[in-house]
Order: sequence, then structure tokens, then C-alpha cells
Amino acid sequence: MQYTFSRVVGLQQRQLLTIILENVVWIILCIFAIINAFVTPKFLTLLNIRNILINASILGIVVIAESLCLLSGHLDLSVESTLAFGAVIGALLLRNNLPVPIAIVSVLLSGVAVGFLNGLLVRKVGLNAFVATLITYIGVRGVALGIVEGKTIWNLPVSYCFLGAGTLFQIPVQILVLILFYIFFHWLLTSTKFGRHVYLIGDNPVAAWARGVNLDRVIISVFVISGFLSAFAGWMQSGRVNSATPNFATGMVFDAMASAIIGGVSLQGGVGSLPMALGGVLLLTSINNVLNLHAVSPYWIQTIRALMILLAVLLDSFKRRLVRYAG
Amino acid sequence: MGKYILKGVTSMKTIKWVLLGFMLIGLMSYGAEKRYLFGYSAPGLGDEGQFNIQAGFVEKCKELGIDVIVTDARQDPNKQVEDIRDLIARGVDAICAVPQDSAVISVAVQECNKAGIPFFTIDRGVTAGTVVLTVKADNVKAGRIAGEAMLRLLQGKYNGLAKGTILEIRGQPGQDVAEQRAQGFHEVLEQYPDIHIISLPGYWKTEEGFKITLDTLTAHPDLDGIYYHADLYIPGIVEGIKAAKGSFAKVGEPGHIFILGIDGNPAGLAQVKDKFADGVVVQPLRDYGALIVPLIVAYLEKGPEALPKPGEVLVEEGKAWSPATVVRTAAGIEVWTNVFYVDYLTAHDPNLWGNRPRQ
Repeated sequence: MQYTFSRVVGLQQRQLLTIILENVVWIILCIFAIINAFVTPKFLTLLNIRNILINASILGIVVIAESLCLLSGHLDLSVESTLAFGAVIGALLLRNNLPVPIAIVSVLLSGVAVGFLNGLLVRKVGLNAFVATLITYIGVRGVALGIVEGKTIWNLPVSYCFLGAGTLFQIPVQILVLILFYIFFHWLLTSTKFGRHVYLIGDNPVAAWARGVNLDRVIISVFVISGFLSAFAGWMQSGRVNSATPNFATGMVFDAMASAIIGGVSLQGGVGSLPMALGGVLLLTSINNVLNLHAVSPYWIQTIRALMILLAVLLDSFKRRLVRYAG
Repeated sequence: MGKYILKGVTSMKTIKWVLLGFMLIGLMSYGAEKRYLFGYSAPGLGDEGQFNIQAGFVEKCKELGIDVIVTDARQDPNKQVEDIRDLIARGVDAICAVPQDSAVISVAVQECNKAGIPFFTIDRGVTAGTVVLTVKADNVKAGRIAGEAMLRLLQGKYNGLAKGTILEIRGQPGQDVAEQRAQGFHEVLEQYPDIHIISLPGYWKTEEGFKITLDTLTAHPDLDGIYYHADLYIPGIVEGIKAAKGSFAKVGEPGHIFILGIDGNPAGLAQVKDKFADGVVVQPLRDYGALIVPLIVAYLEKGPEALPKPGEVLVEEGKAWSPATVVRTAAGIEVWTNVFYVDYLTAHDPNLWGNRPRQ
């Protein structure tokens, strides 16, 4: 009897340990917030939490795009270029006096087109996703640069900027969009056939094919969604700063991958979840926020940022070992 | 037999005519002016400033009948090194670059020196290797002018007292332009112990301008002014203030946060004209090419003697870059162009490069 009881307790402890380890990024975030509540003035205020969420929203949407690709076992390097391209397309059409709805639809279609091209290059031409999206990473920003010749387009219509700079019930629209997108795409990945196929392909494409999954359709769809979300983030970014330039989001792909990886999304595919990736986004954004609040020396800011990310990744790696032990 | 002799005579005549033709072409080419081929290595062409520097260079080359190959490093210092290697392989007569990273580009500058191709830079210097001449704005002076303007604004706000909190949004830490713009500004304001400067790097990105403004206003809601290193930060600053405070107070309105910086591009001037920003220190970006291209030609034709000497002041009536001071620095000879402050009253001047219609 005693033996059975200890087994039950052991099982519960293991389950608890697994739950804790699976949510480790949120635990790290909580520890980070508690420490900074004491050491960083104004960190744990409503206004600053709002700031962190505003600053996280654009990266957060790009991370959904990147995570979808990573979960299906593919990289998408073109996310930041698609963002800049979408922003420039929208601003250029508005500058030429086209109505706001047409500009918005064009922005989103530009992202869908880039995503579709990525999908075709990977599935129909047979290129490795890294190579295919490297081509569009270079080319798409190049087109953005070419069509405006380096010009900054600014002073966009208020209705166009509403997504990036507007508020609904005192809450910035971009925060609401971020939350809605994470809920929707988490549901898409966990509760639909499409989502299960994404995980299955990322885990083992041969097994997925053997089970009758249409690889072409799923993977091209993943790239199309990624392009759509990136362009959407471009619309939001241009609304946020009331301007658009082809230099938008340079280097953001690294932040997006870092956030997804800190959140536990595997580079090998098939492992990870969007709530964890969101944890990675918030952790990375909070690190940047703390460095700004402390006004760290501009010469040391990058080093400190890198050390903080290293610490988060080391904790994550420690978690993985414990998961194996617990399992 | 006779036929063969006749054929031989005909071929000899043909050879003579062909030789004569070659000689004539040779003489004509010798008489014609040599057409130069220059290489221009841009660090990126995605912003208004870099586009205009490049456009000014190409315009002047066209005017003087010089061919130019323009490369774009897309903000990647390693790509810029590769671009310059390609220009060396192409056998250009001279290379002019705006370094993305003053240290990384030095590898390419040294390769250029070995190949015997004269290397010039605009706007930024290099860490190692021989640069014949650099044309740039007097960035320390620009920072100093911005510091003096900020000081006047603070004294105006606090009844003559020099006090307040200022946010400085820098460029890329370590890059000489960013360092010099910071140096001049700090030189002026650090003399006043009651002025507190918060310096954060924006890495020349509009979106970073937004994030830094938002975060700093949260930590320091009493912020008095913002000094930026480039106009590209302004849209982010304005939206950052709106996001943090809920509204934006223009110049002269209660609660206005002083905003001024360096560049004077179309967007920057427009913000001054619309009273979003208090002023801007204008550097004559569009005129760098007009100044450096004739100097490159003079160097190629007459050697180092044709270059201006340290201590000289270059003057040309009606040019925004004039007067320019020639100085010798650790990096070599540099021509530092004039910079000047523009506020609401002077921002409408049609002679400012930021007000000229774009081709």
C-alpha cells in the first residue's frame, strides 16, 4: 500500500516537474520581472508593462510567422524583408493618393506573394528553405529599396496608422492584435488538422507523407501565412512610426529566431508552441526595456544584452536535461 | 606565277592600310581625353541621407564625363569589403566609399593600396590603410551647434538656468560620425552640472528611436529635450512621445519636449517646418560629391600636389559646403564642410538640399 502511495506521489511530482519545465520561459520571465521590480525604477508599472507589450507586438507577430516555419521544419529568413516591402508598398500607394483599403489589401497581398514564392522555390523548384528564403531576403528588400530609391515616406493617413498607433478602450490596438493573433494561431496549430500536419511534417516529413499528408499544400500554406503575417507586421510598423523606409526591421530575423528558440521552438522542427514563443518575445523585449530604463552605456549595451540572452538559453538548456531526466 | 605575285602585292597593300588605320585610331585615342571609371561603394542606399550622398557623387561624375560603378553594401560591412574587391578587380581608376564600419572596411582599403588604386571616403573615416582624402561634415562642430541650441532652449525654459534632462539618441556606437556628434554635444553641455544626458544607441533605425523615446519617457517623465544623431529618428521620436504621453505638444505649445538633431533631409526639414522639431543642424550631404569628384580628378592627373593643404580654407560663393576647412587627422587629410543650424524661420529656404525637388 505504502509502495503504491509513493508511486502516486512520484508520478505527481514528475508531472509537476514536467509542467514547470514546459513553461520554463514564463518562469524565467517572472523571475526577471521580480528582480527588476526591485532594481529597475518604474519597471513594474502599468505604463511600462504597456510599453513592453507595444514594443513586443511587431516582433511578436513576426515570431508567429517564424515559429510556424520552424515547427514545419523550415527556416524563413525573408520575414524582415517582407515586413519592409509591405510597409513600403502601402506607403507608396498612399503617397499616390490611392484609398487606404486598397493600400492595406496590397500590403497583405505583397506578403502572400512573397510567401507563395518561397513555398514554390522550396516545394516545386526543390531548393533548401535556407537558400530559397535567403534569395527572397535579399531580393525583396532590394525591390523595396528600388521602388522608393531610399526615400522615407512619412505622414501617412490616420486611418492607416490606427493599427499601429491607435487605441481601443484605452488599450493600444497593436497589443490587442498581438493577443488575438496568438490565440488564433495557437488554436490553428493545436486544434485543426492543418496544425497537426504542420507538427507532423516538422517531426518527420517521410512519416507525414506516408500517412497521406499533402506536403506541398501544407508547406506552401505555411510560407504563405508567414509572408502574410510579415507584411501585416510591416503595416503595423509603418503605422507605429507614421512612416516607411526600406530599412525597416533590419536584423529582425535574428531577434525573431532568438525569441522562438528561447521559447523552446526547435530548429529541427516539430517541437515547440506559440505561447512559449510569446514568452521568448516578452523576455527579449523586457531585456531591451530594462537596458533602456537603466540607460546602460551605449558601448556595453550589446554585450549585456548578449549575456542576458545567453543566461536565458542556458536555463532553457538546463530545462531540457531535466525534462530528459523527468521523462 | 604572275597571279601569285599580284596577290602578294595586294595583301601587302591591305596590311599597310590596316596598319595605317590602327595608327590613326591610336593617334585619335591619344588626342582624346581619357575617360575615367570610378567606383562608388555605398554602405546602403535605404535612407534619404545615403541616397543623396550617392546621387550627388554620380551627378558630378556625369557632369565631368566620368563613368561610375555604384555598389550597395546593404548595411553589411563584410559585403562592402567584397564590393570593393570587385571594384579593384574591375580596374577602376579610383574608389570612393562611405564606410559602413570604419574598422572592417580597412581590410579593403589596404588591398586597394596594394593594387595602387587611390581610395577616398565621404562622411566617415577608416581605421587602417591609406585614404587619400576624406570629405565629411564637421561633425564635432555639428554636435557643438546642437549642444548650444539645446542649451539656449533649456535656459529659455528655466529662466536663464542651465538645467534639465536630455535624451541623446546616438547612431552606431564606435562609428566615427556618431562619436564626433556625441563629442561636440557633450563638450558643450557637460560644462553644466545640472544638465543630465541619457545616451542610448539607436543603430540608425527609425523603430529604435520609437522604443528608446517610449522607454526613456517612462523612466524620466520630466524629460526636457531629445537630441538625435540623424533625421531618420524623428518619426519614431514623435510617435514615441505620442504613445508615452497620449498627445504631442508642438514647438511653442505647453509641455513641448525640445527636439533637435543633425542631417537636414526632406523629412527632417518638414518636421521643423511643421513645428514638430525645434531645429536641425544641416550638413551638405548632396554637395559632398560636387566637392570630392574634382579633387579625385585633380589627384589622378597631377598627384598629391593637387590636393588642398592642411590649414587651407576652401571657399566657393553660394555653395552650402563653403567654407570648408582642410585638416590633417590620424586618418589622413580631411575636408570638413560647413554645417549650420536651421529652425522654423529658416527651414523654408529653397537652397537647402532637403528642400530641393528630387530628380
